[in-house]
Amino acid sequence: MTPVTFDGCFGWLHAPRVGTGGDVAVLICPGLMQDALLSYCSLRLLADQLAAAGYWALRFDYPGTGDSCGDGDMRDAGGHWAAWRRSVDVAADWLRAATGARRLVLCGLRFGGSLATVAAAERDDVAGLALFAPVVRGHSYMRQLFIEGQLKSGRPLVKDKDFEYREFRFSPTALAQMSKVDLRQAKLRPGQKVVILARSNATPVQDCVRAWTAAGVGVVSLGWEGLEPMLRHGLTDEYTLPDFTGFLNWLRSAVPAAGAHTAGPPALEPAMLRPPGCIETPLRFGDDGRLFGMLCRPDRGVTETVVLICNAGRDPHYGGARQGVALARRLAAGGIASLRMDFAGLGDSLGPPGAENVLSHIFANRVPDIHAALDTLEQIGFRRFAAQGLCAGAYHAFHGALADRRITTLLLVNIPLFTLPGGNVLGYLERRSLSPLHYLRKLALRENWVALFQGKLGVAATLRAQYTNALTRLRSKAHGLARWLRLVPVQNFAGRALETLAGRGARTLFVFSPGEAEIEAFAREFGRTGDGLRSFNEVAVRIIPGMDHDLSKVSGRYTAETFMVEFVAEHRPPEPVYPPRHRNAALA
Amino acid sequence: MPAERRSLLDLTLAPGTAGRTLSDDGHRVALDDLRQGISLEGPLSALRGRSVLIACEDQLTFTLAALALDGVARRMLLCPPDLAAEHLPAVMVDAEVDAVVTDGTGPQPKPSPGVAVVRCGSRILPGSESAVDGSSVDTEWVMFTSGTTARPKMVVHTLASLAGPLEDGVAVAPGTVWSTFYDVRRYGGQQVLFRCLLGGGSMVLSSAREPVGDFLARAGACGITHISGTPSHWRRALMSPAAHKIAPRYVRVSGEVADQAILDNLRQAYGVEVAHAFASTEAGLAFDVRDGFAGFPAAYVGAADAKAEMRIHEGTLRVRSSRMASRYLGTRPQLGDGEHFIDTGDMVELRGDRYYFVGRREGVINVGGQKVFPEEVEAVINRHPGVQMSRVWARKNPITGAVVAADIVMRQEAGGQAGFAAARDGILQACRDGLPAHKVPVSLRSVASLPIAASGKLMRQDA
Amino acid sequence: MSVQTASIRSAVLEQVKLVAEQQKKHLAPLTDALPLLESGLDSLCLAIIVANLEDELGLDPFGTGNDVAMPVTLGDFIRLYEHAG
Repeated sequence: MTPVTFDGCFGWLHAPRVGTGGDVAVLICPGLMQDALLSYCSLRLLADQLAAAGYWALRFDYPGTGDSCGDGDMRDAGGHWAAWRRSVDVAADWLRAATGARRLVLCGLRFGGSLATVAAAERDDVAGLALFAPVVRGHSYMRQLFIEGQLKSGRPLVKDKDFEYREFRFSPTALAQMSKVDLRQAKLRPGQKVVILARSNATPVQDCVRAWTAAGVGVVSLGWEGLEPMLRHGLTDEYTLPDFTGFLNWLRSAVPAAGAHTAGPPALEPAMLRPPGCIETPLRFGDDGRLFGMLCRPDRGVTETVVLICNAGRDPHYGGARQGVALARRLAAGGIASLRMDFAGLGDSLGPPGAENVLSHIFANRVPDIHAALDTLEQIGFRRFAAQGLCAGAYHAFHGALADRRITTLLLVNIPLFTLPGGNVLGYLERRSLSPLHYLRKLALRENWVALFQGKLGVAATLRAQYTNALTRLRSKAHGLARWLRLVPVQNFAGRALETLAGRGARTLFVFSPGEAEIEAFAREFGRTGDGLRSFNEVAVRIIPGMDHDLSKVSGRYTAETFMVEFVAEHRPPEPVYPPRHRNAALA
Repeated sequence: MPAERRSLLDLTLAPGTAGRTLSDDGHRVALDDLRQGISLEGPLSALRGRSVLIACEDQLTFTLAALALDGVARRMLLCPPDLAAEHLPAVMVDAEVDAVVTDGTGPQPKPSPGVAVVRCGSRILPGSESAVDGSSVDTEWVMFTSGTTARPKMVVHTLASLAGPLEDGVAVAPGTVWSTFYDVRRYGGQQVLFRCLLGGGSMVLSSAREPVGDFLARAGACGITHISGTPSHWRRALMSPAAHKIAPRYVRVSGEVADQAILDNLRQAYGVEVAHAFASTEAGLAFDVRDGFAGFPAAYVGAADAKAEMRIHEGTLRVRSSRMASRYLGTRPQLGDGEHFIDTGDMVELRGDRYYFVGRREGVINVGGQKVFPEEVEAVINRHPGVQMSRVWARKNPITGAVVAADIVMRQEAGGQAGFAAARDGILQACRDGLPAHKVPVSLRSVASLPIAASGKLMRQDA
Repeated sequence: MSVQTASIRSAVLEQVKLVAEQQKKHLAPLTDALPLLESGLDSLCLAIIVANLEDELGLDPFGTGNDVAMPVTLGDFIRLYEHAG
């Protein structure tokens, strides 16, 4: 797979195995927000399997999403729908031009399915269309986002005003445009082959099948079995991969890849993005270039400082609500470079041979990946290194700094724990059927849930029952969580570790959202206001009102970014504080 | 000290209040009224020990609030009215703000359960709780540096560090009427405010809404005797036909490099001695120079008896004194080097027995590896009799990275913009005579005006 | 087109002479094959010429965002401007 850029968008081109097919190219249209985060690795796997089956495959990020240029507003681009719809055309044209393929198959997940369907109806080179759990009615989808947005913000949203949710800001016009989408009305062309992979009992899906079949389109509905892991958020379990066999079988017969493909990947311009103030280039590193990160540099001046941005949980490098991208571009504006990387097996980084796509639990040892990233950054010419992470990412950044003396600045957001219980961590967590991160995330929303059930949010009563169940489950888990946290042996590990870091001149910034759950582990070590840290000059703590646990709200996140950028920018170490490439073993 | 500390209000009332006023373009407050009330609508006791953000546009409103809060609040933030809204949440966190005093204008933080809000205004409310009673806590005065796009730094002063420079005896004569182009929330303006309050004078405050000509006319009508501003303030004021409407006995220049041209022009315009001072929000007032010449005597550096000690380190001025701020708020590194000298970032050069300021270290233009300070080039350009003011900036260049370019505002007497063509060669020749080749502007441009930031300094970052 | 390129050529040469005079540099005889570094112009002179040409012709062949190969000879330098036009 090769990183590519076109028209300000970032993507990956997967070339078919030499000797097979090559005249059909598959364009993969991802979902939005959570849908995209959860399925990111699955879509990489899908593209690999398509390539193995003789198809070109391109996956890419729409403008204002993932790594692509553009922000969440899209006003200048004529609204989200217009910009995204246009980008599908640009990607399709680029894909054909780059590969020489004559026919296309559009493949869309969730809202990407809506975009793919409308594009398929309007283009004459689309032979096949594959829809994974597609959004059939834009109106329902917008309504869902609206409710999620209310839960998240804890207050009713005002109609006819801009709707801010995660990385996006939708104007009323933009919302109206997206609400109008209705796939049942899509004028697909007779002869086009369509497969729908969704829960087959969904009425809107059945409506589509009926309407399109009547129009002479060859529609097959294959059900959702085997694909369920695609949109599931497992955190500590060994990940079950989705099974694309049914879809691939359909594709081979519906739109067979023909022709002999003899060339390797086409000659492409080196991938590069130019968001305002930055230059971003993909970076492959580690053994066989298995690891990946996006290197973001200021577009003027020289900087010797680089911040390593670690994955939060299993989110890919661009981060939930694009926080990795947002932080990288703010750092660049402040004259600081960054590498938003994927640990092995996550995002666009491959695991070791034989386990390329096996996602280990989120607290697995990531120190080797951090060493590899710093080695590469050092070779590029960077001399001062910082590590940043959210939640599990903060845990890894912390342990990375303990193991690698090159890291002299730490930015730790909502660090959930400093050390794991000894022994088989995975087994330990499984025995308790608890995944702390998962529930910490959920707990951040708890107050909002409560508000919802007290009727403060005014959400339709029909929805309440659905959420009541979830709330009950959450309460019991929350209880379990507290128990679990107290069971962790306190060995003053965190204090000793910070002492070690401070001793070598490293500085640490802790950033927390004001929730009880977030500060729990920290408070246990250092007291609720960090009194235990008084002796450390090199440690700062900031608790930011309005910031949520996973930094999905732009407002609170902006303040967190301000503190982080300033903290890195203002660190002036006396002189080189480490002999290059010297490391000490991780503190056990 | 806390037991004997006198509050700002106490110190203000001490010299007597007869005939003393504070005024802006809308209101006039008699200082005597402060004996009977305050400008806050809530009880002052609610703000005792709090960290208070004072958010308002008008300087009079701010001044009355500060007079009520000093000695009462734990900390007060002299929030400039133009603080970007996006910086406010970080400011609130760093300063642990738990109360806001506001008239509804200026930066408005989002309502939050832990933060009390008290209304204030530009009138003394009769019968309301007076601030004179009660023990006085040593309130922290938090001032904001004049940032560009980055978040301004918050600098912690005390009443003592801010009042320290006032021991120089300037303007304690009765009947003194002070004014300044500065906003009194900036160090330069705050110094004038304190000179007025503690020295027994009256004060004419400027207003961001008011055109410079109107301000000069108002200041003149109020009979101001002492006035201060930055060189940029003054260059703009001297362009105004209303410049002659004031007749000060004392003119003070600070905040930017004062070149010989502006000192001469001011002396010519007002026929008085012109003092220029070196101060910064962090370092406080280091010294003032009253001999009418640019730069300062080399003997100031290392002088043992000086109020502020000075050192030159790698060409940069460093200052240590009792007037400097104690620290930054937030996670920023502490002020001062190992010996508590503050690095001012201002570069100086020794010529003969005087040091001259050549520019800010971070503003240096790199022309093919050779350094050029915009200020040193501007000083040469400003010497030209047709030039009102100038701004030198770095123009990108593929060969040397940058070359020097200059924007010039011509004097009205020299024909304004139309007079530029005639003056152009003369200005360039002066530069060639007075500067090495790489410092000579490659391009000169005539402009109608130059932007001045809220801090009173020439805006440079967009160049 | 030829008129335009001719005028660009003369504008460039004029600037070369003007700046050399202002900077008190002794110019070698100006031919297309003359290496810029041997022309008598130093990098500051070239920097000034580039800035002046941008003002005068509105041409900035270095500022197009592409990496421009630095001209070696006076001829390269002139052609850079002719092509930018």
